[in-house]
Amino acid sequence: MTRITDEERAELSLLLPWHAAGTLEPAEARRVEAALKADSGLAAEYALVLEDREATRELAAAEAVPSSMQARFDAALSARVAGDSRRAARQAVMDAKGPGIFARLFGGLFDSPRMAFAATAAVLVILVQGGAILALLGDRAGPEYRTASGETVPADGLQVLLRFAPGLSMDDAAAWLEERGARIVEGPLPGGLFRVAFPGSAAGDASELAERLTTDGAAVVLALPSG
Amino acid sequence: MAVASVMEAGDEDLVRQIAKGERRALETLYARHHRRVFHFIRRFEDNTAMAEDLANDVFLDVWSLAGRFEFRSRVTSWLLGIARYKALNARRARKKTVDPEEALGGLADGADTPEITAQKVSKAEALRNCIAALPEEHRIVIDLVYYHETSVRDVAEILQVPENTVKTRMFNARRKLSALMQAAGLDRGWP
Repeated sequence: MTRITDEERAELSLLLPWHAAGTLEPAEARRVEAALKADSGLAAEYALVLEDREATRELAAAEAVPSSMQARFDAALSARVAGDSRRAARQAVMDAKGPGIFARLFGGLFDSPRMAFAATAAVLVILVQGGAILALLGDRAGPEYRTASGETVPADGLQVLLRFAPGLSMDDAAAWLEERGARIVEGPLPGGLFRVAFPGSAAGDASELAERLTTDGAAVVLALPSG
Repeated sequence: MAVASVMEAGDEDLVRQIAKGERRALETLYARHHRRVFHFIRRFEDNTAMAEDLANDVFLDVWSLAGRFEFRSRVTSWLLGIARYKALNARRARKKTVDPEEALGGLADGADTPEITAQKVSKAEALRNCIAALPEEHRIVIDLVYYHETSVRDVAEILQVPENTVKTRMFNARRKLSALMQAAGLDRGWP
């Protein structure tokens, strides 16, 4: 019977848990098997590993999965599938209408909708900045209108600083903005924020709008009044 | 795909079907693995309802991301990788607020010392108690290896650490387990 060196013993000791789980490569498994026959100390250590493995599996088996889990998943999946269908239908309508102005401008430049979206956002930022410079150069403030109550609302509508939920896809963010008639005017800003305008917003308080947005679904995790 | 063939399909085939929008394939993958995903998330998340939501979210992500899976790792490793990411994100988000129950949970509750506990329970039960009492980092790697039967390479991918780190972390977990058993009055003679 071949004796193993201390160095080999230490190396093979590290592999014992995976030998017990049967997830070693065949060559490594053969080395461990041979060493277990040659070294009683390593074999005793392996017996403890087997005990640990058994106890770990018993613990997991005793931990029940909530009975509501499957039903809640089915409901969430149905909602997701329905949402996907709505988005696909909306896209089909958009396709039937033909490409929008930005798609016509950038369609030939970018392969992915995400890139085109980013380019669109960048152009919007430039346009807004250009507008701001013109306003500063001119002798009057930017366009605005006064409501019947005398409250002033920027022509662009109320603006809010938003942080979208981590992991939200660009498609979902675009759909969220589209549903609310909103558009990004600046961003991403430090902290992952976007300045978003709501041109359709009636006279009101940006703080109230921000508060409403934070409770309006899971797409937005933070909304702050802006400007 | 017919019901029977979906049920018999391997995980990778199921992911290919999910990428094509085959809902039944996702339901089969869920039936096969939701339990293990839930158990894995519980290692990070004490709140059962939150763990349930996060585990379900993992499979909803699979519905969206299946087309991007590159088949370089096992599907189960991919699922557990997503699960870990979600659990850590949820924890980071929650750290902004302090849950009073959680804050008070760390206070001594007058429970038995490990020695007294050991006298009351069998060796097997003591071992289960000591595994449950392991630090999170050690409990996770022990679960991945013994319960999820994950290879060294897959553990490294799920935990985003080098393979050598996985081996030494597992070794340290076993050593810590023996120390806890000794503190409970059960000397295992190793290390």
